[in-house]
Amino acid sequence: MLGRSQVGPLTFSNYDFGVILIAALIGLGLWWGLNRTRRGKLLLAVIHDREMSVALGIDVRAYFLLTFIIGSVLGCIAGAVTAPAISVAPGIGVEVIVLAFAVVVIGGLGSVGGALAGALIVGFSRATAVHLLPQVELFVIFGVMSLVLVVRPQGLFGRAPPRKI
Amino acid sequence: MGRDLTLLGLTLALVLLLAGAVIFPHWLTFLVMMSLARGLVVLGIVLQMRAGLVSFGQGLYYCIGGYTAAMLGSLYGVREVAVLIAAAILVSAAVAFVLGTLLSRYRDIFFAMLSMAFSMILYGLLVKSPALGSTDGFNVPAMTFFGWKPAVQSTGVYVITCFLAYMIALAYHYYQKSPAGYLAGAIRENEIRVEYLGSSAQWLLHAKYVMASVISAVGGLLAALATGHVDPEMAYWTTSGEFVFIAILGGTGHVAAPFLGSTLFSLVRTYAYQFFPYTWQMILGLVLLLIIVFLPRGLWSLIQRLYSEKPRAADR
Amino acid sequence: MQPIVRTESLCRNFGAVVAADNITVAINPGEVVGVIGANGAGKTTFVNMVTGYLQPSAGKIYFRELDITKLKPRQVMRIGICRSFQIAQLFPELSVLDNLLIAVSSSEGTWPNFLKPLKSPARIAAAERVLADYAITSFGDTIVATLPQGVRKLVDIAMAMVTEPAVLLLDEPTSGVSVEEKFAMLDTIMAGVGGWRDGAVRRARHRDRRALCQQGAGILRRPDHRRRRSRDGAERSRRSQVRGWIADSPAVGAAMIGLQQVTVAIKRTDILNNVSMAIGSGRMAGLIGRNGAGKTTLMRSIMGLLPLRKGSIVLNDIDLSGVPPHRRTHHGIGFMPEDRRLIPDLTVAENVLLPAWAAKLADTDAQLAWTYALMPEVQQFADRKASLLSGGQQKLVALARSLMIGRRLLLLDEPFEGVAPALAQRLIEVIAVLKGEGATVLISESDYTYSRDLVDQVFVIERGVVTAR
Repeated sequence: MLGRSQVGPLTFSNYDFGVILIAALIGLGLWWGLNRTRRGKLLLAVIHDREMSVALGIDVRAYFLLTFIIGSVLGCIAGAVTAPAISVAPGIGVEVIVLAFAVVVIGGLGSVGGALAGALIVGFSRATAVHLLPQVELFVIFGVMSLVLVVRPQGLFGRAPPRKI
Repeated sequence: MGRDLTLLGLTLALVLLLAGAVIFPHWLTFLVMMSLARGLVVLGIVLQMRAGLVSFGQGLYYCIGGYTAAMLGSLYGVREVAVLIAAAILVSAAVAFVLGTLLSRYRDIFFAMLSMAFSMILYGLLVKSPALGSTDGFNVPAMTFFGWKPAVQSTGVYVITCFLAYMIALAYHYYQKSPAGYLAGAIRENEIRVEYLGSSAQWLLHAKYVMASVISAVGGLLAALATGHVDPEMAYWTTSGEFVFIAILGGTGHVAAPFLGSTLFSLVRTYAYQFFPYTWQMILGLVLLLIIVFLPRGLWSLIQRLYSEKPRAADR
Repeated sequence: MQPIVRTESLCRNFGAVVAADNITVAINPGEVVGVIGANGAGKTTFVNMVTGYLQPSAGKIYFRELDITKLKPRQVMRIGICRSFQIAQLFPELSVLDNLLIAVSSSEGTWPNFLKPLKSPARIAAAERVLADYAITSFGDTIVATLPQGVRKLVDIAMAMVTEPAVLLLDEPTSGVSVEEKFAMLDTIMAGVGGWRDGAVRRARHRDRRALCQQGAGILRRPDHRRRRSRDGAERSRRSQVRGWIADSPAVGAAMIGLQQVTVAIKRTDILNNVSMAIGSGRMAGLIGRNGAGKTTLMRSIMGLLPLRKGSIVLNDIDLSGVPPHRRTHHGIGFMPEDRRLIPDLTVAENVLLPAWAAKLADTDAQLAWTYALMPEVQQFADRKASLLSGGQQKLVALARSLMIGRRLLLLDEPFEGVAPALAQRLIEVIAVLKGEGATVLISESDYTYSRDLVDQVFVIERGVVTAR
């Protein structure tokens, strides 16, 4: 599809560049939506205090639905853009769930930048492992995740929970 | 607070099950064995759930228990179950102690993911170890049971499973009635206060993690004996996920709940498979979904409702 | 005499905010010391540092001349320093007795005891003794989550006291309790404390050696009763000024909000019982009742956070039962909850703006400008994260937030609870201005302390029954 391009000694598929571009655009859009728009702030309120959000006039159920839809759509887009590059089977979701959780935990909950960093770390460590030491490919991600959590218990970009008393 | 009927109930169950060793058809004894063994793993999860932690990696200890038995049996020629039990307890406790120093610092999804990570690491190691049968795993040889050599191997496994499950369930029940047991709920609700009362939430969680691991390892050992086979799938995250699911299905209010959940799960799966060979996964999923929707606090809440008029908020 | 607790130049900052600056104090055994300060002065931070919950940025803490600066709360507790909490820290899903049993068993310290049944006769006796000391025996089997705040605070203190500490730090022990009950509660607390200590402590209470906690200037000065009394005098004159203000409030209009035979139950217990009341447009009404009488439940029912079992609530001829909870603010109802409930990750300005955004107000900017004009102090910390504010400052922000949307009706739940007198005066001023602008307001309070001069009509609520006065 879309051909290939040569960068120095390496050959890349143009399709992969397209995937990266789409991911970057969506990531940016999501970050902007969460942190720079009113809806994003209202969503933060819903996440933090469901009941008070109702008393503030926020339609909590609509926001739950909205986030669920956005999440599902993002999942669909991810599936759609990766499908041409891999072999598709009904069970591929299983692997992705684990990977997605690992990404989120490494990056920190509730942080779009964290998700980006987490995804890059997971992707690179896996690719490196495939290249250098294929035996450990399966669990290198979990090794990296454990390392990150030892150093930063709330993930790279996660915030420490606020003071309670 | 009514009288505590648990001791009576558990003992009655043990007697009935032991009587079943003679009467039950083979498929039923197998179902009971597997339900009890897996129920023990779920009990390990429930022990931690009561303190607010959900382990998505309990398969790690299920696998450790199973592999300890299989390796000692087929590689080192051990033929006595008592030795296997002791070994499984020691190995799992040692592993859990080390991992627990790290894991007890984490809560929520971080705990869930880290525990899953460790079990996936074990899975990865086993898959890449030809000496341990790689993805195929290997078989568990026939055993003696505290010196007793039954005519049919499965009778011995059945009896030992019933006894072990009974003893662990009883110990668990009394543990939950102790301050250490009550502190699980306290930690879940307010760790700050627990610290200010002079207890360390981290140490308590560490201890609970080790206990849960040992219980689950015993479950893994019994499952390995029952099926006569182990493979790395035992540490795979879907296995752990199934255990978490059964834990939610059964409920966390009582020691019997995990066993109830795991029995129902096995039954539904067996029958769904038998009657709907092509759509059994869908049937299984549907039945379980319905139970979760209509009994969000697990199967045990049904029994609780019969038992007392007002469900107490504390029994979650 | 050797001091039992001594601090040396304790400092603590949160980012750019200085919460404690150079605190040097010495407290002697047997002394009762008060730490007084405005909201945000650093009282809780001080307690948090002494008990090891917060590490000071600089300085040292000594207990009997032993350096305890680096100890964790459980270690500090083990050597004999206990505390209570401003917001009671309990295990809400357990019963009061279970809460205390856990405290009793934790204090035993030896691990074999940890595996014996929790509910041993000895432990139950010990727990019940403590319950009796604090006059809360009748709540033994009650689940904590259903208790009113005042009782929770007593349970909180009782839990701190089971270990019979050498030093007890009470963080705002009577906040959340009505003034009439405050003294009785202090007596209860001190009687409980006195039962464990010698009589000297009890006598010391009356002489009240207090120390002052002032923002930015270190803390703990010797008492100056004359100064305190004169400040009370100043407060009184300020209040009469407010009364003058209220005299020219607009005329009474039609009923703005009406409740008709409203019954509300929580967990099958009726909290509100057949409540009927009406507040006219532009009127300010007080809702007076003890802790647990049903004040908060009433307000939450109006907001739709609790379902009505019977009856109806009407706002300007609109039956609110047909309005889903999250649409009620769109009808101009603003709610200020007792426990503030700000979103900690958002800035103060964002918190204030949330209800306006949710309702898509057309004139958000004008409304914000008006709110800021009314409460300039909120504008001052507009860009700060809400989590960095003190309890009292959060209260102001919560009021500002309710003002953004509550053009027709304001529900203020215990607005003066837990705030220093000066801040309470400030809140009264703001509310008085509102009244001048014709807002309908319902203020709940445990007693008439602050609202007496503000309100036009009073409803008394007792055990879920409301009577007009």
